[in-house]
Amino acid sequence: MPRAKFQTLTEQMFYVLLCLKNECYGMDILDRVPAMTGGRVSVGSGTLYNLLEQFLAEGMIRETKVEGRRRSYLLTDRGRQMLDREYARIRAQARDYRTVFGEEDPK
Amino acid sequence: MKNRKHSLAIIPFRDRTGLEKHFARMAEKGWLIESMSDFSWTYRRIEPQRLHFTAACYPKASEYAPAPSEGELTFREFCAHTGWQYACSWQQMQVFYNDREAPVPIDTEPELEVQTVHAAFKSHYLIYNLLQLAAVLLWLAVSAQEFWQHPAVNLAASGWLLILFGIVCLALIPIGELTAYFTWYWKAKKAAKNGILVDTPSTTGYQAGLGCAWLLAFALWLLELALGGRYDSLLLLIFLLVCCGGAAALVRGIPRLLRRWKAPKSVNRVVSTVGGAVVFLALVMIIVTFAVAVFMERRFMP
Repeated sequence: MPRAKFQTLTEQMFYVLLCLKNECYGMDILDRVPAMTGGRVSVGSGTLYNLLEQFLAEGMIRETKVEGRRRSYLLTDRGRQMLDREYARIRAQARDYRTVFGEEDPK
Repeated sequence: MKNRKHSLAIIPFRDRTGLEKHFARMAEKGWLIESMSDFSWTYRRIEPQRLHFTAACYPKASEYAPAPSEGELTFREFCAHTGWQYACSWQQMQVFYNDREAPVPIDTEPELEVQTVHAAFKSHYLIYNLLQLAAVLLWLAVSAQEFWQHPAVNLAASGWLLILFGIVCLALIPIGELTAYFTWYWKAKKAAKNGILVDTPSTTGYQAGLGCAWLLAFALWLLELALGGRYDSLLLLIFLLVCCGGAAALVRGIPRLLRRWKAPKSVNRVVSTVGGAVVFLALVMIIVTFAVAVFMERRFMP
């Protein structure tokens, strides 16, 4: 069954949106995501370019500044809702994990 | 020592994996891809080195635009930020290279990548192959109709069988390409849901085989005409071949020329489309005239 667009966020989508809580140039996200995740997650330049276009089209982010080709973006309320929903989903998964394995550390 | 090198476009546009591997091999030999067209590629000399290549898709790129759009340039800047240097474009494909040991790939979300590739391919490659297939099937239909009007005569003439063989070879090229593309697309779409990107299959051997078979059939046909003393038909055939080559070069050349002259995108699009239609009609008229000439020659041959 096809997955509805942005029904759930992938890890890269999640971090791109998270970076945009504060106004940020598109290109800077390429450095912020690895810095935020300790190098665990990286976003490809083509992927970021396409994601920003799609997030803009869906109203999840908005453009705040245009300086030549440098554009900065900010998370919108709709984008925040998507992030919150994803966060709730991740927390629910963590809760379910604890229900099964208790508070023991993962191996 | 030459600093430029030209080669035929030996790998189809669809085969991104094949292109990336080929360019990496060429860079190890000291040649960096510099420009690409449907027929030929140009390399420039560099120090032999190990480079990573990516054939990324930018669906909004237009062959009619006089210069890359702002969006396209931004896309290239994003890529440059992660070490991917722009090498050249081919329709909606942008080729980048990177000299870092383990660079972050340009596309890191397989589902998004498959969507982007499909959007890029729909706007050029698939249409081009479908048109090619339609033209060859039309040619096949016309030839088959002519064949059934005089089956005994045609079966006796080996030229007809060679023509038929040649047309079938020409039809198999776009059929092979479309099959390879859609097989990849369905597999890639499925695998991307699990975060895996499927390599594109190679059809270089298949295409080269068909091309050689077609050339052999054509050479045999020419030989048959020459040995049979049918020099008029031979000259007509060579003329037709030159016309087909000229028509293809014109259709592909018009947008490139207008782009070089910095004609606006809309003007280029209209002129190229109308020019292409005129060239196609002229070619059909030449083929019909050719077919009638051959038919008349047969009919009144003692």
